Amino acid sequence: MINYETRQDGDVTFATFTREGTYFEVPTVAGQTEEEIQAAIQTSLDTYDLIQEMQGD
Amino acid sequence: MSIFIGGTEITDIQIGSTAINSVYVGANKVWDRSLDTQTVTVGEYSSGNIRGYGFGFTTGGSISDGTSNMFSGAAYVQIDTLADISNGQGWIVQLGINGTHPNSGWTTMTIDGVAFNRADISFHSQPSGITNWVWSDAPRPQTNPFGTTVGATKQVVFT
Repeated sequence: MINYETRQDGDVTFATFTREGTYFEVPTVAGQTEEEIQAAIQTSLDTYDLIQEMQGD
Repeated sequence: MSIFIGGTEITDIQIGSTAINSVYVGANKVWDRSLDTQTVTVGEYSSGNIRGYGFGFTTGGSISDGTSNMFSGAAYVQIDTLADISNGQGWIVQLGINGTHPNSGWTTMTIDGVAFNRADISFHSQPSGITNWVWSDAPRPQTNPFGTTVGATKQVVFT
């Protein structure tokens, strides 16, 4: 479970959080459940980690 | 979307001395003034099943002029695509700009005519001082917008 805040940007609401010094914003969709938001956040984190691995960072 | 007169693309519309930023046909926006346009010479990255194309961590990729009009001339670090070609999950599209910047200031990045909206994607700002926008969540594009021809040039337009 990631603790997050929200930021409104026009019609879009971003879930915002920081992990290990890196600041993230993940778009959410109106009507999403908390479970769905957490899944979107986890997908974003997984992709971030995958990119670091792919690029050999 | 582009507007043409004959075969010539229109990149600047003014009424008198007033710059027009958007054109609508009815309720549909058909044109936005470009905030920044870059020309990317496609480079390639290859390691095992991982492929990358564009400018950034590729070999042979370059960008002109390489500085962002949206962020006070900050340098582009990467505009590239990345995929594990063994899993069919499609292409991750990345934009990286040097420095710490807000998730704002532009709406759409178009690579060779393929549009990627900022509102649809994840954003992160790293402690190393690079700001990234990453189009990664399913469904990822199955076609690489940079193509796979090393040395080809692709226009990237920000609106």
